[in-house]
Amino acid sequence: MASILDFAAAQKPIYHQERPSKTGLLDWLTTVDHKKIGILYGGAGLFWLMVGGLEALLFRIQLAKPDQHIFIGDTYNGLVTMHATTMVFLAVMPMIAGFSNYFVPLMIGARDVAFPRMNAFSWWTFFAGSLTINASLLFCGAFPAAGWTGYAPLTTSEFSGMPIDFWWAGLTLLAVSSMVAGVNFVVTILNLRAPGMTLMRVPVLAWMMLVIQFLLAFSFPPITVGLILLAFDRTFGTVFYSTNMGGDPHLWQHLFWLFGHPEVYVLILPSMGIVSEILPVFTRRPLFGHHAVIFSGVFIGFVGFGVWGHHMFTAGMGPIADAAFASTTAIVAIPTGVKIFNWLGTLWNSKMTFPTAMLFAISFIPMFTIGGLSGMMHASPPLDLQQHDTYFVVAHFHYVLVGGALQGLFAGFYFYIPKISGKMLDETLGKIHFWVFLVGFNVTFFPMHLLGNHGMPRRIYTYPADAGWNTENLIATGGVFLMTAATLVFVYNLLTSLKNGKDAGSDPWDANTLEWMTTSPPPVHNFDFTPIVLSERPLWDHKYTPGFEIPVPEKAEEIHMPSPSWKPMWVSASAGVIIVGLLTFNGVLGIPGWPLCIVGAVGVILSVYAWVSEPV
Amino acid sequence: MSHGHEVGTLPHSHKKQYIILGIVLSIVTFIELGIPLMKGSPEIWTAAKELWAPLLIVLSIFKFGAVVGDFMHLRSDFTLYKILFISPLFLAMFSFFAIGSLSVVHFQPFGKGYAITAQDLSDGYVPPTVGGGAEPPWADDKFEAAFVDAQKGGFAKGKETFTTSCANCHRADGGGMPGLGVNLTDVCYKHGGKIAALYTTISKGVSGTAMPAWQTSMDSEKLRQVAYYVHSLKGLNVAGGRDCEGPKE
Amino acid sequence: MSAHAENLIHDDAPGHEGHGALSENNFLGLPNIKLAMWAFLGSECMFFGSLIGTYFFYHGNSLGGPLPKDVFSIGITSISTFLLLMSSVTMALGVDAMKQQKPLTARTFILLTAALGATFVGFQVFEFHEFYTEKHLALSTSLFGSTFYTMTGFHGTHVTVGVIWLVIMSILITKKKLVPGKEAVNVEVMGLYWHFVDIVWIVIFTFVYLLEFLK
Repeated sequence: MASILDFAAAQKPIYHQERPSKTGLLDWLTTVDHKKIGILYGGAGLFWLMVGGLEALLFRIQLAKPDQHIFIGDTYNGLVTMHATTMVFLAVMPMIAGFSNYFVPLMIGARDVAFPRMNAFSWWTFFAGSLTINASLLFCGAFPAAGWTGYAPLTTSEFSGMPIDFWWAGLTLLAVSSMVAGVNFVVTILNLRAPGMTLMRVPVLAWMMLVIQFLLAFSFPPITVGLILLAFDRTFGTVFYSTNMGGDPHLWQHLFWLFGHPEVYVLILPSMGIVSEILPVFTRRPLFGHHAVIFSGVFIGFVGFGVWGHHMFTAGMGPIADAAFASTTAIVAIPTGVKIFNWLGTLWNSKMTFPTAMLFAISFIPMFTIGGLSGMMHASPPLDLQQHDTYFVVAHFHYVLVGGALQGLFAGFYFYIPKISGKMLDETLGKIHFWVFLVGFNVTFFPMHLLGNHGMPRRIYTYPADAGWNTENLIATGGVFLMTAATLVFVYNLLTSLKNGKDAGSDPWDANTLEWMTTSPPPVHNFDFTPIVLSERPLWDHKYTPGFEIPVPEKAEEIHMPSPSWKPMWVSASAGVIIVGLLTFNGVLGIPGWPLCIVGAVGVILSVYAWVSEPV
Repeated sequence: MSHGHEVGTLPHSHKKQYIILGIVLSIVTFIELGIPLMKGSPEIWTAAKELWAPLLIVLSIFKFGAVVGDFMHLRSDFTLYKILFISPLFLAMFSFFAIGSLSVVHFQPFGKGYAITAQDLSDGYVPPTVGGGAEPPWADDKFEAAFVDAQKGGFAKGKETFTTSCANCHRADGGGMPGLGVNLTDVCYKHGGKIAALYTTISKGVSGTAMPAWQTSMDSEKLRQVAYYVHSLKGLNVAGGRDCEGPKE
Repeated sequence: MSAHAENLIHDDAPGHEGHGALSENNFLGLPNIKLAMWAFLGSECMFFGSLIGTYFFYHGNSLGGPLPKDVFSIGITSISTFLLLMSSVTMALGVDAMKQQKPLTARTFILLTAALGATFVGFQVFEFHEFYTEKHLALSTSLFGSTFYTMTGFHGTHVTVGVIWLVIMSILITKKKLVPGKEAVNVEVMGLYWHFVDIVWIVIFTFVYLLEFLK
């Protein structure tokens, strides 16, 4: 099938910009272009993915054999804590933000996001947060070591040292960044759709992004409050988490998991969206039950707010609460099952092709299902009491987050990078990446099910030789090396493709969504003319259904693009100064804290004033 | 889908409406302030004792609705705005009510709580010092009424629970066992012997000892009944019980 | 089908109430900034929900005094409550004037709102100072101290941010950087924020203060 995509007749738009874009490094610092910010997010995500993977490699080496003493005590705890924190907040979330930044406006036929400077502000705040969390290694010589869940009172100053200050400070910045991005993208997807793109014509990936933006906007405030209370406890001597003052350890757990569970869906839904975009393209048929996939995603997001208690079955909430949360958790299986059913329906009896993107998308389904099934076991409080804090849980969430979320993102990379760079990724290397990763992943995490059932607890740095855990641990560590190798192959593939890759053209996969109708990479203004959407699959209908051609206007459009701006970075930097001020409020590190807070606050006010009075 | 005003004409002014609403809201606020002052006239106060709190809540919901509906004109604005605001509003109310009701000490935003009463002070209540762990002064009416009921029934309900849950360590007659439960039939109490203190000890447990926090498996009614029963054991001094531990009461 | 497409193009004439100068689709015909503010206020519901929820989670759990009833004084709080309520009226009048393209009247109301808001913050500072020095309630005294100061403090911070916003807005109006009819939505959005801060106080005033006096 030849793709017929010819918009050469379209006139180039007439272009207005208040100030011209800068070039080189200055361009990247001042850009408000959603595509460049998307690349920044994606690049940062990949970088932190490597760092988080390295941390995992280190502590898996420690666990490879019994009674080893390479990384012990707080060093080990720090590696585990930072592995999880990095992977969740600094790797997967920014990769998702990267996809959502780059592709959501393209998919809905918009020129940029609703608030381009806010978008840049989100990115710089994320950047500041990611550096802050890791800065503890520089200033304290140690990582935060209280687990990624940061359970207070373990994280209060009574039990944890300085590194935790960097942890809450960084996470607070990330929370602000995500909340702002959430609001921004909610507006973008709702209001910036191209003419004719009714909600049901919005691509599934953009839909899933809409759902997670709501989750980000509404689930981050509780963790922000939790972190603020923690910060106040550590800095100003409040007693929120102080048990000897009557404080209740449940408080943090409630606030954290009220955020934490929607967060899990933030991590998985975009990958589900990516898979739902890829399967139709390589099976050459519309997504089976397209609307059901969308509504089940919405439903997952909705239920996600009512299940936080299943992380707390062992915390002593009482039987009524346990039963309530067990039932809401079990409900999550229904929309998830609907999705899996629809993906299988799409694949069923179709003429598939198997480029790497499709391989990852297909393997997403069984791997995620395995993780989902062990998740359903945890929904039952009696089973959960047995499995809580064992390697069984570790196996569960890695099947969901690596086999699910990360494989989905890899599929997305292979599918979408041609659009970003204009160059195809190498398929041979891609397939090596896929198979080595899939094998390595299963070799690593499948034995953990067994370890958990044999009683190996999480978060222990070594174990005795006669505990019966030796073989599985050794195998798991071997698997990590395979995954590391696979990821390195991917990075090599990515970097070499930029130079040697085959030209992608605008529509390499003969795909069906709007982003493929513009050039690869797209121009700054995305589309030469605003596309008009006449169906759920505008590009396929344009190519193959007579009468559904996307109309090309005769006149050139006049467009006004946002100008580059330093202001977002100023505001982020000032907010960062306030946070650093709170971090060092008591004069630790020899920096006087409160003047920094004042400087930061004044900085925020001045830079916001500059922001609002700057012509866009 | 637009406000419907043509270019060039100005939207309708709501000035008068805002001023009237401002006056109404002021009056409502004065009524709200007046309610606690009703305590000055005990007849009216007690006549509608159960009504004042709901009334205050209703008035605040009215004010809330008026500001959101009219000042923020959500009432006549687009549905999408309503969805964007009202769904997280209910989400927040639902989530935090759930969390509040899971609070370890019973959720009492509108009830008696621990406020100190004149009665407590005349009973010799000394405001506790920081970290002291003194018992909170309970004076809940429901508490008192239930106590009388329990007394009439010979503390049967509490005794039943005690036999199944407490007797393992405290012995069936409450005399205590070495290394496990203390003697409950003497007049010495390590963590206070008033009902409220007993209640707290039973529900929260004593960390570092074998005494578990029973609130995870008993509801507040059960906890109360056990507390009454244990209170009724005071001074029985059964034979073979453990020695006196803690201050005498 | 092309006729259908034509219709779509013309139907798209957006009800621009001025959301910046970018040429963007406007599918719903609603101003971006107002949508964003409502979504943000939704997020703020969860934020204040967490803070107020924490207050009630710990209500009555304080191991030591002073307790709420010992420190609250109905007089001062009711005056500041009244001021904040009136600031909502002036804010609504300011937004109304801006929509009527009377920027100078609007500015007067905006500055009046800012003054009322600043007075509210002033009362709060006074209240905190009194609680701290006279009633010996510090952040670290008890769960009540921690939860009360944090909750009301964050509300006060929001009021302060609102006051700064109002002042910046009146400067923009003075400098004629705000087109009265077209950018009235910016003032309206500021009004939404301000009213939201007011309703948070309505909740706190009733549930934290008044119900305490009933006991």
